[in-house]
Amino acid sequence: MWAKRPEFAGLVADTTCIIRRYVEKGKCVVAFSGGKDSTVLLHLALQVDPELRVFHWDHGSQLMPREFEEEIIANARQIGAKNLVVKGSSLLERSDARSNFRVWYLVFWNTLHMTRRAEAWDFQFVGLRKEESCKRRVTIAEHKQWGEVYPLADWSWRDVWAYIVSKNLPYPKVYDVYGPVLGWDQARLVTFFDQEFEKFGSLYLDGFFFPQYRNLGKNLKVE
Amino acid sequence: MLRKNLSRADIERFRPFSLTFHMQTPIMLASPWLMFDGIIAHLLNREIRGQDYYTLPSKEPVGCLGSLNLMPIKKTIIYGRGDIRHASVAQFDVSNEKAGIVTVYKRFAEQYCGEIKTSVKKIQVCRGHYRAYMMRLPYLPARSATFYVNGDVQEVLRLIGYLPGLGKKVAYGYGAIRSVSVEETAEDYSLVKDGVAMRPLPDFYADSDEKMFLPWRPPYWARESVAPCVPPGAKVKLIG
Repeated sequence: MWAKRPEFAGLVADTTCIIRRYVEKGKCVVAFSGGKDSTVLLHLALQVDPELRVFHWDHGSQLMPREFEEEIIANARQIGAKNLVVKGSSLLERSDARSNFRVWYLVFWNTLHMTRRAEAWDFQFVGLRKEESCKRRVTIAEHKQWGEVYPLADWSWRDVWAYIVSKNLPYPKVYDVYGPVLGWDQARLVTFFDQEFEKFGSLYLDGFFFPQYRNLGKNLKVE
Repeated sequence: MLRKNLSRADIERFRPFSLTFHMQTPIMLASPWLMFDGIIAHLLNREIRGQDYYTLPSKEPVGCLGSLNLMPIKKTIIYGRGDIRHASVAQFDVSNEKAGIVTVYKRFAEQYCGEIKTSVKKIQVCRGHYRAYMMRLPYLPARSATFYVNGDVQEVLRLIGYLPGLGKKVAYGYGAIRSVSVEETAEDYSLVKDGVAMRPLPDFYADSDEKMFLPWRPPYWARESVAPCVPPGAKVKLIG
């Protein structure tokens, strides 16, 4: 229903225009986390240019169990990503990967900047939305990061899900677990048992719904 | 409080039984499984240590009850590996799909600023000791929680008399117990019932297609207790 509204059609057309403008301006890349927003962004961007580069960051087996990582890669391929760049780091396989998130940030930004230089990217499409949080609203307004473009800035969570459902796009199954209990507006794909999100209770939620991943990477010996 | 090892007469009193907690409020959980031997170990520790219990190190396990054999629950000894207690995880009358979420706030109470002896003029609420939390926690709206145990009914009932509630955030009112009922069972269902694991069973003791890293003995929060296990609810075959 939501996807049939003329406002929604206008929003999709506007977003496509923004993407096209930047694609014509320089060399672009789509940041793809695997979540619902980047799924929509990837599909829209590939409609404009099917040869677009897609950048995906692998958080390592402790923060993102391999089952989910494989699903994310498969989804990207199904949506049509031909030039998928997957980067990660062996540092994220250390036993303290879940608690030492400063290492994560350091490694991530270093890798991103090095890849950007090596591949000479001019613009990066990122699926941030203003509606998500105050911090994201500020990030979008200030536009601090290098060449970042936020085509979905004005999208609401209803728009995002309407697009996914109407286009029958694949999305991670973690949404089917968290969506009904947290609400489809609140459900997000984030790293598992990540102590960065402890203050939001993610350790409790992941512990209840995904207990099989709680004890990954604790230097346990399998006999 | 001085306690003695369980005598042979004590152990001979062990019987298989089911213990049902009838709940007054929903149970808040950080894991789908609530271990009964963990609850009893906690109550025993609190009774034996008295006030010292509250000054124990919080991040590392202390010798649980020393070399004493005090737990009023039967154990199966696996030589060189440890003992498995005959106590199941909680069997709730609702499935995990019925779980709800509640948001709990923890905020620094400004009215007690004067209590802090420090030269620092600002309190950081984004990190450190006074960090503010806005946690979403899962709860199960269960009306009853049943544990299958093989042990001393009287001693178990005496100990759970000191139990304020089940699960987490009991001080917030979650997991309040209305009443408890006990029923003797013909068989011991504490480890396996109808071919299904009733508690985490380490892989050296049980065989199954389904395995995951789980703690299998108290304290359940400690890394030292974690091993590859057959999870509760999985089809299982005991070894030996």
